Amino acid sequence: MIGKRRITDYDDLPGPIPAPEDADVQQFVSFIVGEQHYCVDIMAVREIKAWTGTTSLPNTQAYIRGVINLRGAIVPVVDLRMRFGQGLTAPTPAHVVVIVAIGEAQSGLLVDGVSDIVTVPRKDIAAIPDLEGEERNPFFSGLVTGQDSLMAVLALDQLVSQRIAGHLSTSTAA
Amino acid sequence: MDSKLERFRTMFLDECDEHGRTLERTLTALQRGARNHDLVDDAFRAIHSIKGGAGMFGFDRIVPFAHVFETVLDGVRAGRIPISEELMTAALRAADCLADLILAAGSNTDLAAGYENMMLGTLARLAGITVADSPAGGTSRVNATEDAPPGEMERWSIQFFPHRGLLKRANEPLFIVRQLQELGTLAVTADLSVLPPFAQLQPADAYLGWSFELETARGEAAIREIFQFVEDDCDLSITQVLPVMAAAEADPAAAVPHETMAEPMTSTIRVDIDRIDRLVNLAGEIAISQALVAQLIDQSLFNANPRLFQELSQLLTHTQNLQDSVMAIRAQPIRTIFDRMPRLVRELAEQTGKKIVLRTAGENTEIDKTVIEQLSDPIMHMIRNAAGHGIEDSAERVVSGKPAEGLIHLSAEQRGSRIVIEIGDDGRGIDREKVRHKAVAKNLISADSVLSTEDIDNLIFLPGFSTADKVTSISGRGVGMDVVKRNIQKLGGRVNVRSEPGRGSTVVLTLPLTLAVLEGMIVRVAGESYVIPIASIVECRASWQKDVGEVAGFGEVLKVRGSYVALVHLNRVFGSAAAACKQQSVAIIAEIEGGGHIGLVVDEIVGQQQVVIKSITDNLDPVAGIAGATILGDGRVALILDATEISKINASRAKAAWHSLNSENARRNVA
Repeated sequence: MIGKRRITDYDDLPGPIPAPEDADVQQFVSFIVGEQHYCVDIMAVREIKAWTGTTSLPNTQAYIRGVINLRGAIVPVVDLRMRFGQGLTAPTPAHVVVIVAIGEAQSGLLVDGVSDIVTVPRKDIAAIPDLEGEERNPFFSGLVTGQDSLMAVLALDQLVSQRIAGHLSTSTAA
Repeated sequence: MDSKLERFRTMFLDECDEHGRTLERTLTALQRGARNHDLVDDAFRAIHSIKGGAGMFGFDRIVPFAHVFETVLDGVRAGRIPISEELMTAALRAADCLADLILAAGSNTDLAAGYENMMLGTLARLAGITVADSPAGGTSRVNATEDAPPGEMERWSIQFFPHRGLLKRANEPLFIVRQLQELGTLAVTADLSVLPPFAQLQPADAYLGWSFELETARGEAAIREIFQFVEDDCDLSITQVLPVMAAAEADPAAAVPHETMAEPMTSTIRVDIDRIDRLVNLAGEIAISQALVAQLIDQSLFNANPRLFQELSQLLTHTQNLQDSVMAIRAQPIRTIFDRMPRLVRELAEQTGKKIVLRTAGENTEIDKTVIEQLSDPIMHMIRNAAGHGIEDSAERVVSGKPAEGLIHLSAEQRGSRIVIEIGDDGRGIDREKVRHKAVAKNLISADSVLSTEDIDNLIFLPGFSTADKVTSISGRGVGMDVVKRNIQKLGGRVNVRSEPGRGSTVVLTLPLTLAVLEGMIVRVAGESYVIPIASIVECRASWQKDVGEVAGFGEVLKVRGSYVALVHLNRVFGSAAAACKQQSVAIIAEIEGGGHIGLVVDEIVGQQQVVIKSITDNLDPVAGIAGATILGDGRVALILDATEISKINASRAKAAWHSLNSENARRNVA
């Protein structure tokens, strides 16, 4: 395993996060799915919860594990492993749900564990390389280098439903 | 700036709506014979407020109309114009007319020129006639020809009662009256209360008193000046009448100043409904959280700290109260709907030529705002039905020994957590032979089906059922009671009808107090809990397996009282396809939109409870067959099922299966 602390609950979040002083850097929350590292913009992260099970939603995409009660709101949980086509996660209490805001909506991302908060200079965020003859993976918006690994930055609006994504694009267009 | 003005305008129109209802309520009461000063005062105030606001926002068609109307009511208030049936009927029509003017002003449309003129004429004539014919004597009135905008003119109420010896000191009350008249618009009423019988009358003594209502811009000093020579020889009170105030009585205490625009008695604020909804949601959350906490605390903790139990039950009480109070904010008296109905009944009576009285009860019953908004149409529809079908012509009524006037009653009351609304008439009742005949003719039931009288009555709720022999504008457009039933069911309510031939029929609506809460049956399917709205459930069958049949290309059907309903195994739809039927599984027969039924097989029934409805579409695409979600006592999410949608899923699956069966057959035939 990677020699980093696994955060399983938001209680364990490392202290107050220092706000980046200058606009030249961006902070990300990084997490692990399988052997891969991914990250999301820290501003999108609302909270991090331990996996406590979901209520399954019938007749929806397989990557939607179901819904949870997030202080009264009904929030769907997306199984990231399934979303990336690598099969369903077999969740344990050690698994983590990262609650992210996508526009007005909220969604949970089921991941194996949260690893770190990384601060990256904006100029170091690399574009996803164009692969010859292949369509670019729509789930990622860029690549950043963490302390010792390469991480893909999630394009959150692509992970969730078309309706919410559609709503986002219309609202940003307006 | 503009938007601010627009906001005030909207507020004014909202208020007009309230004033309109007040007017309707008070005038109706007066027409029915109630004689109460407060009623006239309320009506007067309503008109006056409308007039004032309309002037402010430049609705110049409303102002003159309201002014004449106000003048008439003022006359009634001061006792100059006697309340007659004719007057009140005209006043009610005028109120309708005023409502139309306001509606037109609000929607920026123009009514035909002269729309209100006839009404205006009638009102003026009535006011005029009554003044001339008034037997009270000594009443005279000078009408203002131009309309004085409120604010510039002041209204004064003057009580002038000479002492016995006033005339002996060479004072002449008539001069005083004339001088007052020069100050502005004056209304005079003579008080004959101490006038002795003729034989005892002393010609040189003063017996008459007067009360004056004066509209003038000249101020109090000018009025006082007129009375300066008689001041010591009379009882005199001069009080200013503030715009929304009533102070016709001599009692100066009645002239306590009020805030000008505010409605006396109730103080209200207007709050954005979203804020209230947020509050309702939060209160629901607190209730759930506190239930969770209570579950987490185990007995040993209670034993260690006995006060914990005490405090927790305190918390429970407070949360419950909080939830009730928050719900009460959304609640509105059903009066807002009921007050609109007298006008409808009047118009219906006119159109049908029948004589109909509307009697309402329980107007103060409170019900959720959202429910109220959606109740108006169904209630109006049923009143139309009652007037169109239920109530007979006067002649027919008299023949059958009933009063010539038909009666429609409309009532609301709270029973437990539900609101019961009844719309009834004393008409001919449901003609069961005709209903049955029609249902058979329309293929809604089979000719040999055995139905109780109650069942027959409720056939009128089937889609496409309408007993009207001819289509009229009043009722019988074929979109009858089934639409009513569907709308009420959407609100989580139920509809029933009871009828007695020759005695009338009553439609009973049972509604939940709020849309935010639903009475649900909790069931288990494939390891998950689901909620089925109780309102849609017809019956639950424990041993249903023996009544199941298989229809090729359609799937399973369940025999329920002689007819067959589609049967859906929820564990196959929601769970893994292979899940076996459990022994204790139950078939729940639920009603679906459009009048059909569906059988839903669940693994077990857990219980029944009220659940708070949550939207799932805030964060998620809509899911077929799921109407929403709720949070159960253990903090888990449970989905609320939509029987109608599930039936549609089932039907499309069956269709697909049938299709593939057909095409396979076709292939074989080709081969």
